[in-house]
Amino acid sequence: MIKAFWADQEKEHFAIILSGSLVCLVIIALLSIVALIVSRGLAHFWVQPAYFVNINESVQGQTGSNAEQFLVGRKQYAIIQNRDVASDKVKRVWLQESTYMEANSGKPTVVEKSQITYLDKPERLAKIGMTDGSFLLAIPKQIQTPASMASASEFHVIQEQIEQLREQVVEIQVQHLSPLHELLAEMRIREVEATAPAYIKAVQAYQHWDSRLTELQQALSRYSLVVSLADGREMSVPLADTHYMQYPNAANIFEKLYYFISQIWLFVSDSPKQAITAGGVFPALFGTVLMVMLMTIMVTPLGVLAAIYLAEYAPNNSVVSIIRIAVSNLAGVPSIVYGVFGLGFFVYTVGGHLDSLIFPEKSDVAVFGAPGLLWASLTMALLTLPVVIVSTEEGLRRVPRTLRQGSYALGATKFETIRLIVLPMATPGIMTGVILAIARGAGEVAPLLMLGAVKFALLLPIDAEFPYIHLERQFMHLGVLIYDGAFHSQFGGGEAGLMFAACMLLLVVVLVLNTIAVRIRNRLRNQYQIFNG
Amino acid sequence: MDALDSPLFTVPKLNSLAKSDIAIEVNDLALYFGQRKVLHEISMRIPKNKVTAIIGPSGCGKSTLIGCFNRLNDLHQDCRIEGQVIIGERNIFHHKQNVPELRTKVGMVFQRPNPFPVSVYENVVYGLRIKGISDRRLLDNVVENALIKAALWDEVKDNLFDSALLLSTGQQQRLVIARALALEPEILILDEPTSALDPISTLLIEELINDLRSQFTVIIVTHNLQQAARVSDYTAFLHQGELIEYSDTDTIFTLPAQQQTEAYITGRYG
Ligand SMILES: Nc1ncnc2c1ncn2[C@@H]1O[C@H](COP(=O)(O)OP(=O)(O)O)[C@@H](O)[C@H]1O
Ligand SMILES: [Mg+2]
Repeated sequence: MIKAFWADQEKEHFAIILSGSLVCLVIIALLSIVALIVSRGLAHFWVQPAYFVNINESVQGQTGSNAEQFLVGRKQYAIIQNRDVASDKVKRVWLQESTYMEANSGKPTVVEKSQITYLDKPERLAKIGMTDGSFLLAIPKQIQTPASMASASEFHVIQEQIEQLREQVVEIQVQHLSPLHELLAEMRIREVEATAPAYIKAVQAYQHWDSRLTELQQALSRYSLVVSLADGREMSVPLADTHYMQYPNAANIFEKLYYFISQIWLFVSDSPKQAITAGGVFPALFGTVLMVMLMTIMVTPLGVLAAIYLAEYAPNNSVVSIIRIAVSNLAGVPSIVYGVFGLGFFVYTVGGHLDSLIFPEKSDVAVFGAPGLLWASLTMALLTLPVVIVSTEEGLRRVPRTLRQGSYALGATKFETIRLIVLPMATPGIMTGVILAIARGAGEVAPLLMLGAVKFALLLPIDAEFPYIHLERQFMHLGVLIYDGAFHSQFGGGEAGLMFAACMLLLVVVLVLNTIAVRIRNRLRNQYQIFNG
Repeated sequence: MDALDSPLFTVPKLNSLAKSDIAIEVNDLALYFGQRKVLHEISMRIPKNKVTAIIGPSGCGKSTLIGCFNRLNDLHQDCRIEGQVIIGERNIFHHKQNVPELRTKVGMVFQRPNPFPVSVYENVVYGLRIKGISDRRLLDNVVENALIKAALWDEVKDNLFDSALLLSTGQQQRLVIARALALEPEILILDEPTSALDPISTLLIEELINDLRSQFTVIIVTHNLQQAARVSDYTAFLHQGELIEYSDTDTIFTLPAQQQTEAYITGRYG
C-alpha cells in the first residue's frame, strides 16, 4: 500500500518536473526569439562609430584563397559592422563605406583584420545623410552659400533656409506645373490647335513656372558643403541633397538618443530608398495595417453571419455536423493553398470577368484581373474565416438559455432576440475570433506573395487621387520585405539590420492590433461580467 | 400581513364562475416531448383577476403546463400538443395565432431572475422597444409606473441607467416582474418566483402579488405550500402530468377531496 503510494507520488513528481521544464523551454525559446529580433532590430538604429581605416597593401597574398576580394592600399572612412572590432577574436572586418556617389551602394567589403594597420575614430568625422537615403562619411570643412562662406557648424541653420527653398520648389511643382502639364496633355488629346489662345496661354504659364523653378534650383545649387575625404581630396556636396549631419564619434548620449529616435521615426514614416537598403518602410507598414484592417472588415460580418446560421438556425442533422467539421478543418489548410485559390479564383476568374464587364471595349486591361490589395485581403479573410466562425459559435452558445427565454416571453421574435440579446452578449466571443484572425492575418506572407504584395510599389493604395482608395493596386507588406531581406543579406555582415528592424516592426504591428482588440473585448466582458466570472 | 394570513373574504367556487370571469380555459390539454407524454388531458378554468397557484412535486409538469399558456414550449423542437387553451375566446394553438403578441399579453417570470445585461431602464422598456415604441416621454412614464407596481421604484430611481446586473437577486426578480408589467399584460405567470430568493425578498414578492391581484390574473407555480396558502385564491395540484385536484385554496388545504392531495399537503411525499 505505502509503496504504491510512494511510487504514485514519484510518478507525479516526475510528470510535474517534465511538464514544468517543457514550459521553461518554451519560454526560453520565445524570449530568445524576441531578444534576438529586438536587439538586432534596435541596433540597426543606434549610432555606430565611424572609423578612419588604413589598410596595408603589403599583406596581400599572405592570407590565401580569396585574396582577390580584399581591398588593399587604401585609406578610408568606414563604419565597421563588427561591434566588437577591438577584440582579438575578430579576424575579419566588415567595412561599410560611404554609399553616396558609389557604384557598390550598400555592399560592405570584407577585410582581414591583420591587414588593418591603423584604426582611429576621428572626432570630427561626420556622417552626412542624403535625401536619397545614401550617406557620406567625411570631415566637413565649410559651407558655401550664395553670399559668403560659413562654418560647417552652421549646417542646421542653413539647412532651414534650404528647407524653405525646397518647399517652394515642391509648391511650384505640385500646384502649378503638374496641373498645367495635365491640362496640356488633355488639350493635345483633344487636338486643340497650337494657335488656339487657350493653348498658348497654358504654354506661357508653363514656361513661366518652369523658369521660376529653374531659378530656384539654381539658387539651391549655390549652397554646397565642402568636405574632405579619407585620401585628402576635397569634395563639394550640394546642400540641397543633404538631409542630416551628425558626428558619430563625438556625440554624447543625448545626441545619440536623439539620432536613434529620429532614425526609428524615419524608418516608420519614410519611403524606402536605395533599393530598400536605406530610408524607411512606411509603405510596407501602411500596406500591412491596411490589409489586416480590410481583412477584418471582410471576415467579421461573414464569419458572424455564418456562425449565427450554424448556431441558431441550422437544423441538428448530419449535414450540418459535416459542415461544422469542414469549417474547423478549413483552418488547417496550408496558407499557400489559399494563395493559389485566391489567384486562380479571385484574380483570374472573378477579377477577369469584372474587367470584361467594366471595360468591355479593351481586352487587354487588367485592373481587377491582376493581383492587388482587394483580392489579397479577401483571400486572407477566407483564410481566417474558420477561426471567426468557431469562436463566434462558441460565444453564441454561451449565451444563457434563460435570457433567450426572457426575451421571447416579452414578445420578441427569434430574429429580435438574436439581434438584441444574443449577438451583443456574444461579442466577447466574436472579438476572440477577430483577435485570432488578426494574429494569423498579420503574420501570414505566403499567400500574399501571389496576390499582389510586392517588394516595392510605387503608389500607396490610398492617396489623394479619386477614388482615394485603390484596392486594385499592388501593395507593400512587411512580411514580404523580411522574406526578401532574408535572401539578400549576409547575417554575418550585420547588413540584415533592416530585416530585423522590419521583423520588429511587424511584431509591434501584430502586438498593437491585438492589444486594441483585446482591450475592446475586455470592455465588452466587463459589461456582461456576471456571465463570465 | 393579516390579510395575507387569513383572507377576509371568501372566493366563489370554481364551478359557479361566469364565462366573463374566466381568463384561461384549458380543454383536454395533452403534451408530449418526443414519445414521452408529459401532460395528461388537463382541463381547467383559470379565473380572471385572481391568484391561482399550481403546486406539485418537481418534475410533475408545472412549468410545462404554464409554458403552454404563452406558447413558450414552441421553443422545444420535439414538443407536440393536443387539446385547446383558450385565452380571450381564441384557441392560442390556432395556426393563425400571433405568438409574439400573445406573449405580450401573457407575461412570464422565471425561477431565476434573468435581467438582460443592459441598464435597469432598458430592461423595463425592452418589450415596448420590440413593439416599436420609442417616444421618450412615454417610455419614461412606463418605466416609472412599472417599477412602482413592482415595488422597486424607490430603490432604483436614482440608478435607472446603471447595469441591471448590479442589483441584488431579489431586486433583479422584481425588475423582471416590472419588465413584464411594462407591457400591461392581462395574465402574469410566475414560475417559482421566490425559490432562488432570501426570506425578505420572498416576502416583498408575496406582498407584490397581493397588490397585483386586483388588476391582473396571476398564476404562480410554487414548491412552497405555505406560500400557495398565503397568496392564492385557487390552487391546482398536479401529479405526474395529471391534474389531481383543482379548487379554491381554502378547500384544497382544509378539505382535499383526493387522497393524493392530502398526502402531498401533509408532507407524506413531494
Ligand atoms: N425539453 C424537454 N424535453 C424532454 N423532456 C422534458 C423537457 N422539459 C421538461 N421535460 C420533462 O417533463 C417533465 C416535466 O417537467 P417540468 O414541467 O419542468 O416540471 P416541474 O416544473 O413541475 O418541475 C419532467 O419529467 C422533465 O423531465
Ligand atoms: Mg419547473
